[in-house]
Amino acid sequence: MNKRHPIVRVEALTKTYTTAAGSFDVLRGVNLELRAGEMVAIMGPSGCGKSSLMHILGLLAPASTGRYTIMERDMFGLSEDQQAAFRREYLGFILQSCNLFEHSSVSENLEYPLIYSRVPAAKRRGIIEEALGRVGLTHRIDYPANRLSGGEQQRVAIARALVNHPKVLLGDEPTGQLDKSTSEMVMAYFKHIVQEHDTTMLIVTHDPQVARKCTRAYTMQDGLLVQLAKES
Amino acid sequence: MIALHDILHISVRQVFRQRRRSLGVVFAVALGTASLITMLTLGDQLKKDMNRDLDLLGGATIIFGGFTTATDTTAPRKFFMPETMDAIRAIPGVESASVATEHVDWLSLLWRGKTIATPILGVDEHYWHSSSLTAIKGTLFGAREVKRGTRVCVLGEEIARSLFGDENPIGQYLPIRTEVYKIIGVVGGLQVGDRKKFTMLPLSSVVSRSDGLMRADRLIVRCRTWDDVTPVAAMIPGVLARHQDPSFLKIDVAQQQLERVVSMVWWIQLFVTVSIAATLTVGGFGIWNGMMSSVTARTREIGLKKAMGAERNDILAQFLCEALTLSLSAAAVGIILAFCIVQTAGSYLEASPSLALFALNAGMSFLFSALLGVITGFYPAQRAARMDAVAALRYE
Repeated sequence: MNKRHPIVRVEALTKTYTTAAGSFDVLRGVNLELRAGEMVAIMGPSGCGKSSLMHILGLLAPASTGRYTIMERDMFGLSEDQQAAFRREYLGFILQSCNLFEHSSVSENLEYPLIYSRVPAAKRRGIIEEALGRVGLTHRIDYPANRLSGGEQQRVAIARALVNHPKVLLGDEPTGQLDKSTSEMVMAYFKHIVQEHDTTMLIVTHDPQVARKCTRAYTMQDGLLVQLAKES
Repeated sequence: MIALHDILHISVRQVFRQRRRSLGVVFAVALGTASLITMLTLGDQLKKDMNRDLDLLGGATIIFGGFTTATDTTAPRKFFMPETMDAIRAIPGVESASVATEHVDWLSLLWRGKTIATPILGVDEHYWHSSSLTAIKGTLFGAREVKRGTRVCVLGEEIARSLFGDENPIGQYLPIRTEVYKIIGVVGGLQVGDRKKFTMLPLSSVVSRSDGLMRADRLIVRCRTWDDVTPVAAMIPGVLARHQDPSFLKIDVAQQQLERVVSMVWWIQLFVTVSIAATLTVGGFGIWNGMMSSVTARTREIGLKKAMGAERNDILAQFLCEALTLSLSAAAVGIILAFCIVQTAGSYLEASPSLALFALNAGMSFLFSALLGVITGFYPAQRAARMDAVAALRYE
């Protein structure tokens, strides 16, 4: 696919929540295009709708209206099982901390996406080692996940998101629970992965430092994305 | 859906990691399964054993038969023919059938200066088993002695004591009328009843030497269990009619004792069945409750798995398989426990339980446990599978 061609295209996306108190619009017509090798940040205060956008883009929640394509394929036309299949083949999620299966080992954590992708058991160990190698944690392969440091846990989560070689990486506050130095290290990993594998990454964050390291940054205002000027 | 070996591997690993939480549930289901297998495997043996013990208290499984002509001197003299006895023994549910003389001949024995009265009873070789009699000394005469009319006798323990005191009567000779009989055994124990005063001779010896007074006109049929008594008693006249004239036949069943025993055992069986059902229900509820708690505690895990691309069926299969792992591991423990109980109880009851019956019951219990796992695990698994991914990921 042409590198200039958008991998992800979102057009006039809306999301309306209906509660007992009434209905309110969180997304009012979001437009967004993400290209291969791009790392894009979305900022905004809590409750502005950035996580809702992330969940819609991750095919975990439906939109109210709009159009969403990945590699020119209509995502809203897929059934629930087709969306799950698409998620395991093309999407990778990195969430805040506490997103590892804490009673499992590092390799077991990385094995789940491979199991869901029906990768034969004999091939998994090699793939896991390769993914851990990318985040420098091969030596922790059989280590219990709950004994890793916060930074190591997040690197394992990154390795898990990368293990199926996704085209699109979605990070929901991926550095939210990390200290400054670990956060910088993790961001450096993201940058390296995106550039090396032509992956597209969307990061939802509160942290301007994180946004500054991205190709582009947006802020969510009144349910719409507004692009922030790149600081020199 | 993901591969079966992966589902099994993940589920067994998860259950093993949470084994402390599941111990109580596994124990309850294992206990219920073991009780069920033991009851099914040893039930028949226990029933037979109980029948044997109950015989001591009145013979609820014994049918007596005779001809009413025995007390009527004007009626034709009748007796049970050998082919009739063979046919009665072939009736399903008959454990043993024997004939004896209805008429008891009282004799006065002059022995070592003492005169002792003893009733003489002619019996066949099946009489001992039909009447639950065993030798406390020596041996009992068998088919050969009965067929040949050998001059041997078996004494009741009281008459043996009266005649010989502490001396061993076995091998001694006893003059009965004009002949001498060798004493080969003494019967005694709890089941001997009033026969402790009897002298028992081979039926043929008594019949041939009584000038037609004593005949094989007393029928004693021992049934396998009390359930067989009524049908066997109903069949005897018809079977007899095929071989000889059935007129004057009279069949007696200890109906009252039988009804009391059946009623008592019915209540015991009900109590045992309810106890096993209660144990399995508690175990099943434990699995359900444990799985519901597990689904709640692992909400975020479910969300993460959905985010990784797990389908509803993957989640459903995993939780269902965990419930099955619990119930089947409990069944496996229960089968091992049941095997130990059956072996121990079998040796206590002096029985050799059928291995094939045990295997069949173990297999059925295993299937039942699988069903229990599916029934109790399905709702929690379905709840996990239907969980909203976003809500699950936000769950703290």
